Amino acid sequence: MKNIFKKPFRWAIFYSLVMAAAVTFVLMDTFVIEQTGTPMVTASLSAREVKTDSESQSTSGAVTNEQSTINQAASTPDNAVITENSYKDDNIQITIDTVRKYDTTLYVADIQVSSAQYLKTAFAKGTYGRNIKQTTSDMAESNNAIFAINGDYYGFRDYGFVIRNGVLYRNTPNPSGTGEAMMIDKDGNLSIVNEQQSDAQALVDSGAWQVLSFGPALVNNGKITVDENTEVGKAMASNPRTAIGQISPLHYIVIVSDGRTSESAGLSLLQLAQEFSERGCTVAYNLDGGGSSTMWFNGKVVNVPANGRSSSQRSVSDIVYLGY
Amino acid sequence: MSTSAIKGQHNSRHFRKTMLVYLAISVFCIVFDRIYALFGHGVYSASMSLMFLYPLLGGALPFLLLWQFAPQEDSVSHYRLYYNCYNSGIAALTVQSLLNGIFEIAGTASRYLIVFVVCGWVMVAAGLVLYLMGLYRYYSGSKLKS
Repeated sequence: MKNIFKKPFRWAIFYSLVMAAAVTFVLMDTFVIEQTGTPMVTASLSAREVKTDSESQSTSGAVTNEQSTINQAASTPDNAVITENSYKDDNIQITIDTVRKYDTTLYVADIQVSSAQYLKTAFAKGTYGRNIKQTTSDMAESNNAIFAINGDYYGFRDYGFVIRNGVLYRNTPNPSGTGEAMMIDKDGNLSIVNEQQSDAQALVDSGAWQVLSFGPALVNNGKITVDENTEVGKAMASNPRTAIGQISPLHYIVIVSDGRTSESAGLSLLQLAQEFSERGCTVAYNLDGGGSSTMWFNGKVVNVPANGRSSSQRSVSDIVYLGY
Repeated sequence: MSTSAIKGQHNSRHFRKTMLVYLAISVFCIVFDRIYALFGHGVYSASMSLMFLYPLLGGALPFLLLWQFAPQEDSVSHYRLYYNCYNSGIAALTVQSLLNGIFEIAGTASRYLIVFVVCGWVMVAAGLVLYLMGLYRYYSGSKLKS
């Protein structure tokens, strides 16, 4: 037994098996095994306050309306007017334009809502955790969404703030790049926060309703904050993109671009930022792109997702959507 | 031909063969990186691109030096232990570099990669210590055989 590894190849075979097992485990842990997480702090009732339309207009201020934001029985109002590229009812207006620019097809959604409660997020399978994934379509349908885009794919990383519906799920700052995250407050206003200089719980306490962590910020305080050299990680310059911006209170622009295909090259972050700036956005933020980029409207995928070589949707961790 | 001459030939072949295996692994690492890049939509990882340096500088180069200058392998005590330990360390570091590259390109990370790094360097260090101890014994005249 003492000299078992002295014979040539015995140790090599044994060690190779150990390495193969270790590599398999690490790959499975990173890409496949679902790991359900729990909120770091259970949201207090007051943290779940969202101003509804009537409440926003009243002088009495915000009123607790927890049920209005959680698992509502979603339905489209009877008076909704729906066309192939638009939706309109008393509370939500969506118009989707298809634009050809930069050798790329862009899908630009102009969104106006009457209350922040209609701008929502959802987890895949309704559960927070790593490798818990669904397609944007499946999540949109299971949440009775009218319009949806992919979110920040938080479940593919172990860092980046995750705050959803006023509940803190992850407080590990994004260590790379600028560490910029997008906060949506209870009034539906978008703002850029620096995770490396912020405390996630303090954001919740100060009224953060959603925090999505991908980035970078494209426009902040009305100014473009990226240049031609800015890129996500080590990606190439042109990619499919998903981004959201705000023009004025409760008025948003969402842009999803095709890319990585013979028909569409994709956008650089600067080009994307310019699109938001030209439309008057004071804030805009880049969400997960590449194969994840998906825009879903009224039961159909609007863009051409570039998931590897197929044109199928990539399963992701979360969506941003509009609905009741 | 004397016994020592035959042993010398055998040992030269051993070092040379190990060096060539490491060179082949280095080439494989480079080819793997290039092929992986074809499917990476232009996303690259320095960790994957440079992983060939572990087998090249940590494997092929040392065994080239051993081939040229070191005493016969069976003259150095605990050579087999050194050999297994050192090679395992280089393998762990190379695999870590590969996995880190895959994760960087995918845009994710794993908390377990540090285990490969620590194990790899510990085994490399342990292997070097073992070999230096063997060399010390060899040159101090004890020439203890493993």
